[in-house]
Amino acid sequence: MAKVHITNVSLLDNPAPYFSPFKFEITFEAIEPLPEDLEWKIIYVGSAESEEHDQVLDTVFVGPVPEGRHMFVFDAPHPDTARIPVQDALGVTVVLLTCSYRAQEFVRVGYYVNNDYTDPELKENPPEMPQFDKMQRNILASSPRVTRFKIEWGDVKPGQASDRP
Amino acid sequence: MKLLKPSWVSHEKRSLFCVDIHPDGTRFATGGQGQDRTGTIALWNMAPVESERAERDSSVPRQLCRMDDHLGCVNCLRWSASGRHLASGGDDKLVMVWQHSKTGGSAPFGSRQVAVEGWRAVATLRGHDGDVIDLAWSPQDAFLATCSVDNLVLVWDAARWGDIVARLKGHTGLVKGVDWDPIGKYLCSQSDDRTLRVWRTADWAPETEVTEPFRQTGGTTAVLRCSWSPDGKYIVSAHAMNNGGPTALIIDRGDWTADMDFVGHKKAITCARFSSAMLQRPGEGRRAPYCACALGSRDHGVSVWLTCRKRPLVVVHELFDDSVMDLSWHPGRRLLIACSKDGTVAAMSFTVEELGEAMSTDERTALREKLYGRAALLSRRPGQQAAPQLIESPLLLSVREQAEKQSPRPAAPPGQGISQPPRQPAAGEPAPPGTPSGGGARKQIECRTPDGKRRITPMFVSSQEVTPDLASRFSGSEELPFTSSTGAAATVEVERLDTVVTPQVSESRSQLSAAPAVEATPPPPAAVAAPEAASIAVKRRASTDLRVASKRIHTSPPPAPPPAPPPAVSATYTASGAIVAPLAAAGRLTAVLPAAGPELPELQLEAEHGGAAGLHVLTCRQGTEFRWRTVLSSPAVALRCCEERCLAWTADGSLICLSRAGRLLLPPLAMPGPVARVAARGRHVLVVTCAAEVSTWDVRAAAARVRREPAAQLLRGGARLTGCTLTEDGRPVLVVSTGRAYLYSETMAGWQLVTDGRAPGAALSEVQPQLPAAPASGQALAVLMAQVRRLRPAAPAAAPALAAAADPQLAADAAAAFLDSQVAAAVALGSPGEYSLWLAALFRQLASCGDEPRLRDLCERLLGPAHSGASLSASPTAELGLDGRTLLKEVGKEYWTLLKELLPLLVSHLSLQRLYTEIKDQLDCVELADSI
Repeated sequence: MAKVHITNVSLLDNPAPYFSPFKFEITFEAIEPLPEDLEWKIIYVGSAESEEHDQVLDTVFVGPVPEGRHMFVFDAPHPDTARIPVQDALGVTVVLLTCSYRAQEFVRVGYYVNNDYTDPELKENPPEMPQFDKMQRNILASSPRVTRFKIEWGDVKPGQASDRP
Repeated sequence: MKLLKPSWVSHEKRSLFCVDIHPDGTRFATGGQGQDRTGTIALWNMAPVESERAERDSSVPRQLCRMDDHLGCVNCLRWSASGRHLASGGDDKLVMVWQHSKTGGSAPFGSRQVAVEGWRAVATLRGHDGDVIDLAWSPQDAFLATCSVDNLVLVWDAARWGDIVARLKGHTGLVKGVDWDPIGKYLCSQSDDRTLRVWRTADWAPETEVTEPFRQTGGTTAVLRCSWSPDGKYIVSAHAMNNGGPTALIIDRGDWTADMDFVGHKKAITCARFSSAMLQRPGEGRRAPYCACALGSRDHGVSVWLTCRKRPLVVVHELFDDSVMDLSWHPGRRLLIACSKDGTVAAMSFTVEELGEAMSTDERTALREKLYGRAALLSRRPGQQAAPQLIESPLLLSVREQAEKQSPRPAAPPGQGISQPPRQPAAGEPAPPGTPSGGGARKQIECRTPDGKRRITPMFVSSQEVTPDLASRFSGSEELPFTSSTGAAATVEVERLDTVVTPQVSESRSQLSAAPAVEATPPPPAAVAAPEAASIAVKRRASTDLRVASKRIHTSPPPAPPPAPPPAVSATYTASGAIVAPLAAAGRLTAVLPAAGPELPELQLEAEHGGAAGLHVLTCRQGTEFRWRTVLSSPAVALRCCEERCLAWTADGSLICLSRAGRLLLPPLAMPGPVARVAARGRHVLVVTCAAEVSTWDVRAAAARVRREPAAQLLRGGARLTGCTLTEDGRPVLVVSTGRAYLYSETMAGWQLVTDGRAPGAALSEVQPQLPAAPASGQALAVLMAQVRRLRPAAPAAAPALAAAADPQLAADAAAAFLDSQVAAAVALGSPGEYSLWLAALFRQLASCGDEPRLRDLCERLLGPAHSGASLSASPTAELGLDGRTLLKEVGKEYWTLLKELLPLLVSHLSLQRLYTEIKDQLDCVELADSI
C-alpha cells in the first residue's frame, strides 16, 4: 500500500494575477519513515491539445520524512508565456501536482485553471495578442482530480535487503 | 424474524466479501473490492440498521469511515474481542490492523466520501505470499491467525505486531477459512485441499485432520469460513459433502468425529458463523444452553440453526443475487448480517422467542469452566510456564517490590495468565528523530541541492495518533474533513538556508539527482542547519563534513581528523593492484594544532601547493597572525597534528614531522607504500597504504608499533575501507563498508571484529541499552557503532533480523549473541563504561528469557574463582571476563559493585530466584570481606 497519502492541499493566493507564483500548501501523511526523499512537481498544461506544451514549473525534494503528518508550502513560478500557444492563453487549462518516490509517480492531483481578463472591456473583446499582465488566474480549488498509482515502495523483504553503500 | 436489506450499505455496487459487527454493536465493517481492482473497507453505523427512526433521521451518520489502503480486494475482516482493533486481509497479500484515530475523519483526498471517524492502520503485516482469505483473533486477542492461498496459516503476536508466532504448514491447497477454539487450546483451518485441520496452540503442532467428508468437494467456493461454537464443543465446517449433497459438517471436539451435518443448501456452503452468545430458552424450568449458527451458501441463501433443534430455525432462499460471502452476529441483539458478492448486505433480526436469551458473560465463563476446567481458560503465551511459580524466599519478595517501585518497566511477572494488552504508543513518546519537536517550529526548511533544485524539510504536524480506546460515540454533527481549499495565507513559515545538500535519492533508480556520489549517505538534514562553515571546498561536501567542520570552528577540538579524505573508488584501483585508492594532492589542506597551555596557543596550519611560484608551502598562523612557513619538496596529501607535532605526508611518499616552531624533528620517513589513509591520535599515527597495509608509529618515542600489517583480507568481496581510527592507546581500527570494524590486536597479531553492523541481533533495537546521542571520546565502541550505522542507514541487517523474528527464541538468542559480542568488544577496546553498559544489557536479555546456565556463568565470572563454586583448577585468568574485571578496576569500580547493580534484574523472572539467592549470598560475603 502507499506509504504516503496526501490529506490536504490548500491553494494560497487564489485567484491571483497571471504573473504571480503558484502556492500550494500540502499536507501529507507518511505511515512509515521514508529512507529517501519525495519529489514533488508542479506541471502546467499549456495546451490541452498536446503534452508538448506541458511545463514543469518547479521540482522540489522533500525530506527527510519521518512517520507522521507533515506540511509544507510548495511555490513555483508562473508559466513561461512564450511556451503557451496563443489560442490557449485564455480559458480553462489544468495544473498538475505530482509526487514521486524513487522516481516513480504515485499520486497526481489535477486542478482546472481558468485564465481570464479582469477588465470587463478586455473580457468582452479580448485582444489578438494575449496580454498576460492583465489576466487573472483562478484555480478551481474545490474539485481536485486525484489519481493514484501503485508503485514499488521498497519494502525490505527477507533475503533481499538492499545493498546500497 | 424481520429482514432488512439496507441499500445504503454498498461499496458503489461492487462485490462485498466480508462483514463483521463490532463487539459493542455500534458499528459494523464491510470489505470488498474498491475502485480499479483495489480494496475497500467501510465502517457503518449500526443504528440506522436497527431502528427505522434512525434510518430516516438525516442527522444520523450512516457511513463512518472508508479505508482505501488495501491494494487488492479485501477478503476478510474481523474485530478484536476488545473492539479496539480491526484486522483486514486482502488480495494484496497484506494484513492490516486498524485502530481508531484521534485526528478525526480522513476521507481519502479528493474523494467525495464522507468520514465521520478516522481509522488508521497501526500495523501492516507482511508475511503471506498470496491473497489473504480469512483471519481470526484468538479468544483474548493475544494472537491473530490469518490464512492465505499460499497454503499457510500464520499466527501473529498481537502484542508485537510483525512477529510471527507460528507458521502452520501442512495444507496442500489454498487455505480459505480459519477460526480459534474459544477456549484457546486449538485453531482450525479449512482448505481447498479437502481437509479441515485442527492445530494445538500449545506447540502449534497439528492435532488432527478431517478428510473423509470433504473428499467429493471441489474447489468451487471463494471462501471456506469454518466456525467454532462458543461453548467450544463443535466446529462447523464450510462446504462438505454427504451423499452427494452439500452440507456443513459438525465436528465434535472430543474425538474429532463428524457424525452430523447441516443439510439443505443446494450449493456449496461458503461460510458458517456461530453467534458468540450462548443462548437459553426464556422462562423454561431447565435452561439447557445452546448455540446459534448461521450458514451462507453459494445458492444465494442463508439458514440459521440452533444446536438444540434438529431443524433449521429459518431458511431464507434467494436472499441475494449471488453467493453469500460472510456472516456476522450482533453479540447482544439477536441480529445477523450477511453480505454477498452481489454487493448488498442483509440484516435479519430475531425475537427472544425465536432465538432465545443470551447468557451473561459470567454465566458463559462458568459454563466453560465447568466443561474444561479453570486452568484451560487461561490464555497461553509461548515461553510461559503453565503453572505459576511460587516465591520461595521472603528476601526475593522485598526485592521485587523494590524493583517494581523503582521502575514500571520490568515486564509483568510471567505465569500470571493475563494476556498483555497491545502496546500503545506512550503519550509522551519523543517525536521521531529529525523532526522539530512541539510547537514553535511551524516552518519548513529549504536548502538547495547541488544542481540547484530545492530540497524542503517539511513541517512536522503530528505523529500518527491513535486513540487507545474507541471514542464513546460519534455525533452526526462533527465537521467534515477537509477538502482541497483556497487559503489566504500560508500557515507554514519558510526558512531558506544557503546550505547545499544532497537529496536522499537512490542513484540507481533515479537519474534525477546529479549529486556527486558521496561515500556515506548524508544524515538527515537536521545537521544541515549548521551555520555556514569554513571554506567552499568543505561546503560542497556532504553534510557529514559540514558538521565536522562547524564543530572544529566553534569548540576547542581534540586532534580530531579534519574532513575525510576523498572517497575511494575501489573498482579502478583494484585493477592496478592497489586495494585502497591513494590520497591525491588537494589544493589546500588545513589542520589545527590545539593549545597546550597559556604560552602555547592554538595554531592553524595550512598546506598549499602550486601557489605563486609553483612551490608547496606549509604555513602556520596563530589566529590571523603569521607564525612560520616552510617549503615542502612535493605537494602534501595529508596534514595532521598530534602531540605538539605537525605531520605532513607528501605526494612523494614521505612523512615529514615538524615541531611547533616549524623545525624538522626527524628526517623525512619514507612510507611503506603510496599512502591511502592517515589518522592521528595522542602520540600515535596510523597510515594505511594502497596495498591495505597498516602501520602505526609512536611519534613521541619515534618508534614503530605496528609494522605493515596486511588488512587486505578484510576488504575481500568488494568491501571498501571507509575509515580508520586509533584507539586511545594507539591501536588501529579499520571500518569497512560491509558495516564491520576491526581492531588490531598486537598480542594476537591479527584483526579482531569489534563492531558488526550486520550481526543478526544488532537490528533488534529493543535489546540495545540507551546509547548517548553523541558518543563521547571515552566511548570507543559507541563511536564505531555510529560510524558503522552511518554506512548503512537504510537496511541494517534487516534480512537476518526478520528471519530471526519469526522464532522468538531464535531472536532472543540472536540478541544475546549480539550483546555478548558487544561486551567482548568493549573489553577489547578498553572501554570500561561501555563494558558495564553492555554487560547490563546482556544480563537483562538473559534474565528476560530466563537463561539460567548462561546467567550463572556470567555471575560467576564476575564474582571470580574464589567465590564461585567452580573448581579452582580451571584457569580463570585466561577468561575474558577477568579482563573486564581489571578494566573496571582501572576506573576504580569493583567488579562486585557491578554485579550488585545487575543482580536485581534476576528477580523479574521467578525461575531464577534460586540463582539470585545463591549469588546474593556470595556477594554479601565478598562485600563483608571487602569492608573488613
